[in-house]
Amino acid sequence: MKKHPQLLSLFAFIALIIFVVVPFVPLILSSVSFSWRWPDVLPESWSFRAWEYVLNDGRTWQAVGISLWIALIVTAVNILLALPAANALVRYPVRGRWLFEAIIFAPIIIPPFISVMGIHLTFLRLGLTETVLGVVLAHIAPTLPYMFRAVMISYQTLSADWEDQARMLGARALPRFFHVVLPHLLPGILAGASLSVLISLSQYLITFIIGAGQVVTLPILLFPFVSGGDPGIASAYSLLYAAIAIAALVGMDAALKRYYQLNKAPQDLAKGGKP
Amino acid sequence: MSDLRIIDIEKRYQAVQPKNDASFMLRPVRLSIREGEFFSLLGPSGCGKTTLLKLVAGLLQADGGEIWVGGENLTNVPPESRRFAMVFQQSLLFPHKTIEDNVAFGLKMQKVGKKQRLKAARDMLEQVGLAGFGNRFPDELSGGQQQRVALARALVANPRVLLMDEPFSALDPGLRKEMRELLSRIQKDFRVTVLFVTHDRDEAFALSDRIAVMGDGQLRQVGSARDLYERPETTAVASFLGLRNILSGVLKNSRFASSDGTIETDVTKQLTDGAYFMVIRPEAIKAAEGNQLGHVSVSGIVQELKYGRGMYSLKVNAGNQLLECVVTTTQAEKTAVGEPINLLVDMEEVWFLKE
Amino acid sequence: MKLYPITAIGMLALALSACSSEEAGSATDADSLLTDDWSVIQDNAQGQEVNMYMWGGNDNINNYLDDWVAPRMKEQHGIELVRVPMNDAQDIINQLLDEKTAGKTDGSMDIVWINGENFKAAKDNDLLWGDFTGQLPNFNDYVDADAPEVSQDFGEPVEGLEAPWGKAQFVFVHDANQHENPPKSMTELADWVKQNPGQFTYPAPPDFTGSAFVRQVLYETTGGHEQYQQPAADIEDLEERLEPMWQYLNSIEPYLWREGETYPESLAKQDQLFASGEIGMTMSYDPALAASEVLKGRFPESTRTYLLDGGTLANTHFLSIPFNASDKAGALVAINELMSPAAQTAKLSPENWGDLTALDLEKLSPEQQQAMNEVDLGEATLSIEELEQNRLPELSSDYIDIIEKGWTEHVAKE
Repeated sequence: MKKHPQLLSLFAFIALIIFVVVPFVPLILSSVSFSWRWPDVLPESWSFRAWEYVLNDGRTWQAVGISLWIALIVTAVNILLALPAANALVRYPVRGRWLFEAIIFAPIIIPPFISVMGIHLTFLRLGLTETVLGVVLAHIAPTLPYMFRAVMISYQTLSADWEDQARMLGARALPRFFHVVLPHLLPGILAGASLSVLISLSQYLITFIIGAGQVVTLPILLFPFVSGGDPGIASAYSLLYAAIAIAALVGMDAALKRYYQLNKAPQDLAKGGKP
Repeated sequence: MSDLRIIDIEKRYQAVQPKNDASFMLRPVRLSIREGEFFSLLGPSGCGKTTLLKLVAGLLQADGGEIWVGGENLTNVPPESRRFAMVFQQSLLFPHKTIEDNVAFGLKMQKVGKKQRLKAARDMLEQVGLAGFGNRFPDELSGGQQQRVALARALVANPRVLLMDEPFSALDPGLRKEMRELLSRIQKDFRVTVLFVTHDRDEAFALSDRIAVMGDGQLRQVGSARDLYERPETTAVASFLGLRNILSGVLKNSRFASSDGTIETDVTKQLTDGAYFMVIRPEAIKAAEGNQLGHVSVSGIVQELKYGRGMYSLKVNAGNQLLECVVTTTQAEKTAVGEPINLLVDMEEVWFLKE
Repeated sequence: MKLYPITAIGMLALALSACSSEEAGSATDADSLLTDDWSVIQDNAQGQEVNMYMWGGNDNINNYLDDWVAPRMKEQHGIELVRVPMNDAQDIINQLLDEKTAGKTDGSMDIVWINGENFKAAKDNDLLWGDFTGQLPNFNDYVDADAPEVSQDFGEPVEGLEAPWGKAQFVFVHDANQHENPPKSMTELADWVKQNPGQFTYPAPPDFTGSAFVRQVLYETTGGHEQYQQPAADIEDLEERLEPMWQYLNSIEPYLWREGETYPESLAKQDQLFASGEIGMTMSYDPALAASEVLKGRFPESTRTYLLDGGTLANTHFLSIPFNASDKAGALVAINELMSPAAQTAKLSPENWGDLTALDLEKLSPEQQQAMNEVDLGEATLSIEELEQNRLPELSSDYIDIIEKGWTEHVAKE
């Protein structure tokens, strides 16, 4: 009986290594290799040329900052849009609700290229191209569906009774939202936010067309190297990109934990002690 | 005087239907509930009792009518400002808050200071027998404990009316009884007006000062438990309260004859001639030979014999009529299914309903 | 949901962030810059921020612009040169087309790096500013404006709309340790391929380099390049003339890498095959690329480049100024500086880039010539002289379209 969980965690550990760590190994090797030729298993010698280029370039860090900034605003806007939309679609008998859902989910199915080509001219006329605002607006299309879906599922599992109960205890709309609805939605919001951040971070085409070279995110720097055939620099950028993405996810997770800790402060220990 | 008055409150179905009577979820209801009274709405599911409760709470928008408490018209006051409290079938404790914070929530909404509201919460928890549980979280409590917390949370802010929507129906029977006693005691201690929804006749009978029996979206009859049971105004109320021995027949010249011919007897009550239902409570029938003054004798065949709590319940086939009655163990031992039996109906206990 | 205040704050933050990236550009009487004195242009250029939109997938080129050119531009002319990385020059044209349609006059592209099809597309759609090369002192002093490789871009008359920046020439790349005598003509190549099955392939057109290889085959198998100097539409029997080329390509196909069932989809993929030793030969339209790959350790030390005996395709790449560039004066000064002998000499060095100069060597002073000749091109690169003497002109883009479509039909599908 006692051996069992240990064995399980060992398997989990091995799976983690195989599926998460192993794919990074060639990237790491390729980013520091010098003359790595088939059929050698390991590079002949090492070079930090790629990393020097990536890390010394001031644009890299600027791009990291802008990428995260955009992802953050996009996610914040998504939350503000998804909450009322999901609330309305789940709670009220909206006529033609399938149409609203179809519109919101369409960007997942329609290739972003098509929609972006369409909005590019409009954004040009509105002066939104080459601006962070324009890129943020453009990023909302492919990210909002995921946020919306996550929040909608959370709303579906929140019976209206909870809010009714809070009302009967004298809670007005705002306290109701913060004391009852938000805590319930939070895990869903976090899941949606994680996807939103990751998808925003990974946008190349949309950023490129709307940002028109003036909004330089990490993928904008990375892509020419992938297609231009410099695996060293492409690998180094990819690793940096992965590190940023992981850092963003870990950061959000920590923020959620902190939120729960603030709300459940001293009892957490007592709770952890129970089976 | 802070009576709760429900004046012609009504609710229609939202669906667009041609204007006819069938579109009512709740036909206009008029009720006056005294301050400190324990009032139950009793009826089968779908009868509109929960609708009425939510209309009183303000959680549903009425299509007509008014709600008053004392001299205050609450019809257009939102639920959060009515100073009512409500306990639902599920305890609905906020899972991320401690028991204490849950109980203190209503006071927090009233902007009562932290110290004061936590003290009130602890006192209230003691009242429901959960002293010392304040720092736990809802998922660490049993179902019964959770419902006690819900009760404490509802009462802590001193509501004008406590609304309860089948609060004990999710608990197992033993616990249900315990909770009824707790509620009864606390209701008397706090002298709070309670409007209680249930489909359980025994529960309503055990708790209520008065009961409104509902069916098909309207009030059928209002009265004390005894009133309802002994003097039901319609066969629907009678059968919902478990009265199965209903014989239709005609009363003429102080003599009642059931239409199937099972019973024909003189009636001493002052009643006009016409078609009647004769309602016989099971307790009004005993198994005995011969004849007795004020009783009418009916013979039949025993069809079913069931033991329950010290007594046997008996179903007897008399003519075309199935009569239910209760007999002692000794009487039951003298007979068996399929054997003939003679029954005596106490005419003093019989209730006549005009058809 | 009472979230309006929060939404409002969010939108405000967005609006503020948008303002900061707004640019104050003045395109007022920009067209007079086409006739103004150079000193006036230089004065106007002071303090301008010049955005140079160019392919960004080579760290050497990027570093040359960022570390060599940009600081000098700032120091000598007070111009902030900002390199904007692009994935494909085609994107520049699409972008400009949309901006033209939308009537955007304060464009942020000040200099664009283009040639060939992209230049033709830009020219046909009036996306370029005007005849500006005559304003550039370095163009007037060091460039032979009448030379065909400067006056024409893939057969399209340049008309001063773009200034030459560098030259490229098609070369074959092989590992001298593996194959001592590489094939120097298409006939020899066919034999070589048969003797070394699986060792040769070329990127599938419309890959730029793969398409150039097919044109190289065209010249050698259909009797020279001269016949194609007229528009494609004027040659009535073009189909028949191209026939030997398809025959040649199909005849070598069974002996190619993976028996010709697939072709590498890009030069990058092909180079990877060569780097890993899977194939024995690759090719490049950049004569110095092999040398720089050796420096990066991707290609073996023994990598060499060579030309065909009958010469190879050559082209020139250009810098141009879009119609709606906001900082045209700065763009003029920057392009002039990029064409200076000093900048061109630095560009020639494989450590910086290894790109051939666009200047006419004979117009340079003896010292300038010497500086250029002293640049160590690396063992893998041929001498400038050898390259110069074996140049063949490019085809105009109407041919390229026909050939790329024809390849899919005649070679890929069969």
